[in-house]
Amino acid sequence: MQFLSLFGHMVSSIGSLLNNPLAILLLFGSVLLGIIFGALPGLTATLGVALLTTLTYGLNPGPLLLMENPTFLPETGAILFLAAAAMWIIGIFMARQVIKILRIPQAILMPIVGLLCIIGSYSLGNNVFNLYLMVPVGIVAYFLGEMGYPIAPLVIGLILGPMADESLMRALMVSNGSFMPMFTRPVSLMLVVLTVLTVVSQFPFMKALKTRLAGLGKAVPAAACDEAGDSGGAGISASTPEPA
Amino acid sequence: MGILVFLIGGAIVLEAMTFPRGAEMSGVRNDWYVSPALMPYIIGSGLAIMGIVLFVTGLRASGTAAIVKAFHEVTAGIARVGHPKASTVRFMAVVGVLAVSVFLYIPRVDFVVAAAALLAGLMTMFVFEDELLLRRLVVLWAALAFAFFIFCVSGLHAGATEAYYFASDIVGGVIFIAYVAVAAKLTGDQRQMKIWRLIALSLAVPLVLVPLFKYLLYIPLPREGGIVALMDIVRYDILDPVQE
Repeated sequence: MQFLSLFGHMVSSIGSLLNNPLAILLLFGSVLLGIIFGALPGLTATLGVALLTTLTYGLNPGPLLLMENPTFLPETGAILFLAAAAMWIIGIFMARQVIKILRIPQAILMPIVGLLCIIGSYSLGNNVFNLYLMVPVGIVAYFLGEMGYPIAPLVIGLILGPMADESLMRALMVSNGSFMPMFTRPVSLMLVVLTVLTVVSQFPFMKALKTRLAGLGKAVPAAACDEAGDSGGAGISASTPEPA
Repeated sequence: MGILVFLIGGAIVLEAMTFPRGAEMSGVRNDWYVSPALMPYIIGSGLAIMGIVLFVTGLRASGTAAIVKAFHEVTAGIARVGHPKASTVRFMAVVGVLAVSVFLYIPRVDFVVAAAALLAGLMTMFVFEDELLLRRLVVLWAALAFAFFIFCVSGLHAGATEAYYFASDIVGGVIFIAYVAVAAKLTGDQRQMKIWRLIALSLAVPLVLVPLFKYLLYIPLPREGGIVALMDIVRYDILDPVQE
């Protein structure tokens, strides 16, 4: 029942969001600001991937973006304007027809989607090896999805992997093969610590420790109240002003 | 899953060991940190370690009883090889048709023929929701794929293609026609109209998609054989002849 009420609340929230164009504008505005200025607003995994688009095109999100690429912002604005216009036209004239695609039986639609996947993965590098990779990766991803593993980190890894490889090699060349700058520079140290904490926090002993610490946190105020109760409530009455 | 992640990590490390390392890269003496194997080593070892952690965590959470249960499931699955469950047949049908198309047909047969075979296979297997028909069609598909596999490994494919470039397309076409003919017979008289409509659709989709990708999006196809050559003639010699 609790799940159903939570689900109902979620649906009504989404419904109210869709009824409120200002909320949608603010949502996309925050993502766009994240893309342009490198800020990290509260994002879902999908919007996190959108945030990486600038990096994939070799642009550095952040304040320098506008100095290094002064045409970026007007171009993005123009693209958004054109996209909005195109979506309006498509929405008005094609929405009723396009929705009919959903009526096609899955047994017919899915093989066509599969064929598009094959052409798409081949066209990435005009290489048959991409196709050979597609099938095993698809099978593994299917089982990962079935077991509840999120696929978004895999996608982010696919985008960030080549950049990480390149940047690691460049950093090691600058430091003559030493890994120490990763731990002596404040930003990289912070990122390393956060990464290690993220991984370690998933270990069972760390979860048990967290639960124990939370238990202690609850136990301490309770013990303090008990002590106050034993001493006739003097601890409370001493700090509480008497009513006039 | 932990074992699978460990194996993937191990495979990455083993593959990285074949990469040129610093000292002998391109015949020029280099430092170890410019080696392309560096990142794969880090990723592969990280995955292998995480795989072990996942396995141990799972073992602690579920106990050895889970391993015994999994072992029993695997042995029961092996015992059912001749009589698989309906869900297993459906999964194997999707994976099998995709894998055979990607690894066997698409690199060797004209893309239009290979795509039509893929679509015809998947559509006819799943559209009727008939388990017996599905099993029969899977066997038929596997038998035809095996015949083509023998054609390839026996050296006939290489010889025939050398003698006549479109030979493998003809063999692929014959396999497609054989599948369609037998599938139509297996489906029964009452569903004849529907199956021929499906087969027409499986031919029409690649005939629409291929020109779209090749001539509008300029994406080359894995193998451009007889049908694509005919399309080239129509596109470049009839519709838009090159002006000398």
